[in-house]
Amino acid sequence: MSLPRPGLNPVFVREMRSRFRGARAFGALTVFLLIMTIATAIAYYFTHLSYQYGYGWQNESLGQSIFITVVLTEGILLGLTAPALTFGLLSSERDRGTWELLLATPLSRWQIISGKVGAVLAYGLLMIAAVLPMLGITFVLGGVSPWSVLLSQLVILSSAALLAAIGLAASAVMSTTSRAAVTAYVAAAAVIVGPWLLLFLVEIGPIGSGDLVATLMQVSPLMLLIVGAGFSDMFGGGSDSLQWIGQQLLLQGILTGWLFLLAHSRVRRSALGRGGPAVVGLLVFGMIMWLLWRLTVMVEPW
Amino acid sequence: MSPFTDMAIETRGLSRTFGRTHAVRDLGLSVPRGALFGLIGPNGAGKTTTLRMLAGLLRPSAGQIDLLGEPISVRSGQYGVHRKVGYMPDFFGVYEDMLAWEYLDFFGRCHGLSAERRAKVVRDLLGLVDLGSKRDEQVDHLSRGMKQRLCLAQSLVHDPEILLLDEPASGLDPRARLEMRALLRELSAMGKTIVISSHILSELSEMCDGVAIMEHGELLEHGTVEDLNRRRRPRAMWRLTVASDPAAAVVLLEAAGVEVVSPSEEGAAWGDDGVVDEVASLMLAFEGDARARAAVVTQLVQAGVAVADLRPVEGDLEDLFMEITRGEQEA
Repeated sequence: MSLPRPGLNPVFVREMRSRFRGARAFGALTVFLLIMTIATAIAYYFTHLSYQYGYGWQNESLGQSIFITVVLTEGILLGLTAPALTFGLLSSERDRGTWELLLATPLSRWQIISGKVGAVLAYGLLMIAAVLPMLGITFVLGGVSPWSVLLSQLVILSSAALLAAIGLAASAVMSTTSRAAVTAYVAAAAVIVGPWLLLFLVEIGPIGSGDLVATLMQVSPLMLLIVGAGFSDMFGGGSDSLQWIGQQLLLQGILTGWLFLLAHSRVRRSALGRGGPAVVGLLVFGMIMWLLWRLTVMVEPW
Repeated sequence: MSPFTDMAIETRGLSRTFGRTHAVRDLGLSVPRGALFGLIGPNGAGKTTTLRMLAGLLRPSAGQIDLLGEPISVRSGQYGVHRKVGYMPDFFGVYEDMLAWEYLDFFGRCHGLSAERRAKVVRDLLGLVDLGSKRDEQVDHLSRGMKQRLCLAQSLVHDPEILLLDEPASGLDPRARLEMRALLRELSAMGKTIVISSHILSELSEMCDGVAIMEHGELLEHGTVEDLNRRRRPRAMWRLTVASDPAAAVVLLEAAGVEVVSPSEEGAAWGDDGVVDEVASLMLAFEGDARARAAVVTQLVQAGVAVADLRPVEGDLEDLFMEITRGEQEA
């Protein structure tokens, strides 16, 4: 019996061919850049306006303003896009009726998942690369170090990867793409907005202890994005912030990896298309979160 | 039926449960190498579950599967199974955004074929399924019949010895069905072992060397159509068509010890006077050998009865299926 010849992952080749064929991918990229440009122009306009009203003009403050705007807009757009790129990865195969054909080949679970994720990652990296020239403006204006730019992109990539992994896990667990889409966005919203909502409830009183909220806050990509975008010498970013960011990147990495493994373990079994074990998955997810809370050294980001 | 030397598929005590439902129960199936084998049964009989277990897509709850003489274990990995088996599910789809050749090329890659081999296989298979002219056509622009043939071609990319086809002709128009049947015959002639599950029993009886009839997850009957006929109808039935004087024929036959069961369904009827019409087919229960049959025919001809035809009556698969499944329900 001869083993398959080494070469490009067939699933990756197919996904890339499919993703980049036609105008859809490039259209989406154009819209993405258009929104980024508009946001940057607005940031420039308002900074310029503040100069006119006597707040003083500095190239550095303009650079920082553009940096924060670009990073926040990029993070939010990629955060919204990431689950959409993945929630159909496996469930659409089931919807389409190609899932069993794929499982009937000698491809391993790893090859199926990594091929699909690889193509999404390639697209995500293309989006991030497309933004880099905009961030390059800040080098001309000053006020932002290359280190800040690098860190911000790392934060965005990590957060987008977590949200994409949520979409992937939903896709593996749910039987149809529509269910996977709803699950992915509900879960993503819970991770992004949930801690803020809980924080609000703590502030107004109904929830007594803020410890759990503080822990959940640690995994909120939005929190990480804000801290990441605001991290620069001018905004008082110091070793504490850096430590906090490093800790959160590690935490997000663990969660992303766990969600990836969840999807991986479901690939064969999900041929049956049952969503029941999602509950078990969420329980395990909760236990891991609790464990991490107990183990993590709590460091305030400010 | 050709003499088969060994078995392509053998199952022993194969069972699969989903919760409390027994989809397949204690299935013992033997499919000879090179056979075209039909798996028939009503909806929910367990045909698809059986095929999915054979294809290595579903883990049996119990039992053993041997493919080409080697036991397979789903737990120990799929690699061997997927090399031996080509599978076409009943509900299948295609990647709409691909061209016909890319579709086959993709599955060729999945099976680890080299670029040169893929190019040849794609060309050959498109030719085999008569889609050579549609090579650069987008898959979603193909008709249902063409998609069905393309899917059959994808199950052949790695040149498996065993083909498992779940309702390959469902939803096809009569022309596409004929084309599919011709294709399956061609594959059978190439030496592939083909297991087909289908509801179109008349087609299966024409094509298949052997059949298995399933109901409620259990195997009711198993063997060639002739075997099933013999088992279900121990008396040999013959149809005699006479073009003159059928009444005299009936008298002569009964005198010769042949039981005239009835005029057959084909046009003949007893007349008002209790005598069959002039041109009639008679159904006979007759155990004699070729010499005995020749003697009876000679006797009829010498008596002036114009014998048009004498042929054995094979119960068709539909009759057998209805009889077998009815028997089970009554039991």
